Amino acid sequence: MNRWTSTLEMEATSMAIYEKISFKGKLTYSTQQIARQKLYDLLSKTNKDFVLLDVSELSFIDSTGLAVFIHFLKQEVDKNRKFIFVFSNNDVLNKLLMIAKFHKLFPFAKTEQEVNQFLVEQGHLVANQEALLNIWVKQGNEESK
Amino acid sequence: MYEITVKCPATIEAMEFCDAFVESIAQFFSIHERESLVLSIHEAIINSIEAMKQLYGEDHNNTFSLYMRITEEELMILVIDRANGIPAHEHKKLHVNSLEDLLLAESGRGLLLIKELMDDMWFEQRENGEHAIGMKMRR
Repeated sequence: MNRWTSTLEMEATSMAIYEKISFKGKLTYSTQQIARQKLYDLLSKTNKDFVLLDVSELSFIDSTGLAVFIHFLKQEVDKNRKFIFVFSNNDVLNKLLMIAKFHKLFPFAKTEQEVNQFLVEQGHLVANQEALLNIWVKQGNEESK
Repeated sequence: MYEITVKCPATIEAMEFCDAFVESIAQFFSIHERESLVLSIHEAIINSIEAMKQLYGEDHNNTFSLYMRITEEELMILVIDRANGIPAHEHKKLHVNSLEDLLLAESGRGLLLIKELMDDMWFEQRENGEHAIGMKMRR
C-alpha cells in the first residue's frame, strides 16, 4: 500500500556575501533528523559568515523543526556565523516564528534583495548574531523588534 | 454537532495521517485558524508518541486516539493515550514559562505552542487509565 509521507528539500546556493539555504516542504518530527544532517553538511561546506535561511517554500514547521534552527544557531555562534530568515509571502510561517519569539534571535526579512542590500551596506559592521539583530532593528525593520 | 474519533498506531505515519485528516476537517468546516488547529493537534500527537516511546520503548503496539467535537461555536479536541500523562512539574512549568523563556531551548516548546495557539488547553486523567491532552478553539 502506498502512503503519503512528508518530504523536505534543502538546497544551498553560494552568493557573493552569503550562503543561501532554501527549504521546501515540511520541517517536522518526521523530517528533522534528515534536516539536521543535511544542514550540518551544507554549513560545513561553506566559509561564508552570513547564512540566509530561505523558508519561503516551507509549508509546515513544528516544535522539533524550530529546534533544528536553534541547534544550529548555538552550534555556529563560535564559528562567527550569522543567520537571517527570509519569508517572501509565507505569512503563516512568519506568524508562527513570531509566536515562537524567533524574531528575538534572528532578523526576519521579506526578500533576499533586502538582505543583500543590508549586507552590502552594513555587513562589515556585524560582529555576531546579536550585533546583526541590533543593527537590523535599528535600521527600522519592525518585525525584528 | 459532529463527533469524530480516530484510533491510530503511535507512529510517525499515523501522525502524518492525522495532519492530513485534521487539515481536511478544518477545510470542510471552514475553520478560520486552520494552521493553528493542525499544528496544535500535531504537537499533542508528538507528545503522545514520545511519551509512549519513553514508556514502552521503540517497538510497541500502543495506540493513541484523536477525538474531535465540532459545534457551531467551537471545536473540542482530545488526544488520548495510555502513557503516564504529563508530570505535575511540567504542568507547573506550563503556567510559569512562556515561549520567550525557552528562546534557546531545543525542546519543550510543543505544549507552550498549543497554549498560545488555542483558546484553552488542559490535561485529563481518565477513569480507564488513559490520559488526554484537551484543547478548545472558538470558531
